[in-house]
Amino acid sequence: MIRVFHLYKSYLPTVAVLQDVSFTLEAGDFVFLTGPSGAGKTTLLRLLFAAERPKSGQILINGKNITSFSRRQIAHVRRSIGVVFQDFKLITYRTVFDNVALVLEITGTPRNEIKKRVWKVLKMVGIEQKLYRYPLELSGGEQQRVAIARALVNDPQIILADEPTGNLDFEITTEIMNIFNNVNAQGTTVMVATHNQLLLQKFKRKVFTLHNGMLQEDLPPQENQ
Amino acid sequence: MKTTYLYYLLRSTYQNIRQHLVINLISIFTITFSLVIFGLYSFGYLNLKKNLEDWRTDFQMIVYLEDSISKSQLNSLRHFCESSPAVARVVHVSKKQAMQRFRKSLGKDSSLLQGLKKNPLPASLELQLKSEVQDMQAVENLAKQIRKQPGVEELQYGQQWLRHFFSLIKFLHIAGLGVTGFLFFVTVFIVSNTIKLSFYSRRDAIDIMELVGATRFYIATPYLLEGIFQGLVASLLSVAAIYALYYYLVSWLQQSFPFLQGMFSLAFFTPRMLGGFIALGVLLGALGFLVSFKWVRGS
Repeated sequence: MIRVFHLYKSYLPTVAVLQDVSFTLEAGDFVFLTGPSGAGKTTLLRLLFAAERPKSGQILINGKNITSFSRRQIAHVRRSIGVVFQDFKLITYRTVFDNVALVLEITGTPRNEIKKRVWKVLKMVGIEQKLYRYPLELSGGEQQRVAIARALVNDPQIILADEPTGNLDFEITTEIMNIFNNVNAQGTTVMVATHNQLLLQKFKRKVFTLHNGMLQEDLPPQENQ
Repeated sequence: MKTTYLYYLLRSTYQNIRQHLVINLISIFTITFSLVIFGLYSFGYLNLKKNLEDWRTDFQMIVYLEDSISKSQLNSLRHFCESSPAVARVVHVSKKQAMQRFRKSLGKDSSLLQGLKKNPLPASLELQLKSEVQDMQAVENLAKQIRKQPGVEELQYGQQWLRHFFSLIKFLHIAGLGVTGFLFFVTVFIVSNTIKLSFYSRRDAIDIMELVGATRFYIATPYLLEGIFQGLVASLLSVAAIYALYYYLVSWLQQSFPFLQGMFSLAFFTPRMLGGFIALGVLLGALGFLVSFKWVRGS
């Protein structure tokens, strides 16, 4: 599913953000990516959905090395990856429906099919009542649900979430994490970047820790014990 | 392209325009203003050029003939002039006709000519030049060749006046091209900067579309269509504004300077020019978009 080999990334010649990062995620894996602020979590996620290119190393998504992909190929790879951000990244002048529908529109999915699928996914994340609202009319938790719905609507094989609960209270955080758990239970690979230790303790999953740009792989807490 | 895909692109264009109505109106106003300036300059330039060329059609080269010229020499000279590529029309004025004209031009004083025993005026050929003749050299070459023909006594064509005229036309051509080019780039600059401002507020939306896997074609097309829409609306508005100014100017000239009628005429753009002008507006909108999109994606 995702294979990363000897990945290096630096923004300044003397400052390495990622150093020799290698790992493998199989279909249906759920992993937390953690580490202190500035450890390189966001950079690693951005490399995985090809928003940036590494200095060296390889990233294989479904056996294809995306580091050498053209812009057009990258666009197609991204359709198999759902990405969720801390700041939601919703288009403020489009309604909830149109934000989620965008992912299907770009693939030329027929309008009737889009209506069905968007409704289904919005119901799944519990925001179907606010179909025609604009993002700025919603609370933070609701906006994040919309962002998750957008990430899920295309039935992606991989979900990457960068601090998806960073701005939310613990109750809503739990609800959001339950959505990820449900998606994962259906076979989707999920990687959630967070520095929230409470999350790691509550949801006992495999953990990748980044420290000074280097990755350390930990077993789920219950398996450590 | 699938119909569904096309529908999404058009719908996205409509949504963009509707959601950014104020920015769109500002862009349309800027393009309209630029096009009005550009159009007024073109209007002035084309009318000046047209009037100068109209004056030129009045210009004649007069070939005075020797009294002793034979009929065959006259026919051969006339044929020579008519076959020249620079000559549009040849009119033969006999000695008698020349005298009649002169008499007419003297009016009441024509009685002065009654004492003449012999008609002193020469017969002539009046040559009208084609409007394609654009330089002095062609006129001088023609004059040189005519002078060599038998039966030609003298040739007049207002060399000095014609030389100044051709210099003025040449200057107008060069200045016209230069100013047109300059105005075009200034307009593209102003328009692209206005569109850049409108893009600034949409950078996030463009980033988001890229993140969810939209191709550049899918992202760019609605913006391109929006630019074309702005250009089209602005060019129609500017044509209306220029026509209104033209109408006002013609009425004002007719009322204030009635003596100018017949000497100077003002013509509005031809349908072909109007088509070109509207195409220019559309091109400006599209170019403004391309420059701005490149700027947004490059940054």
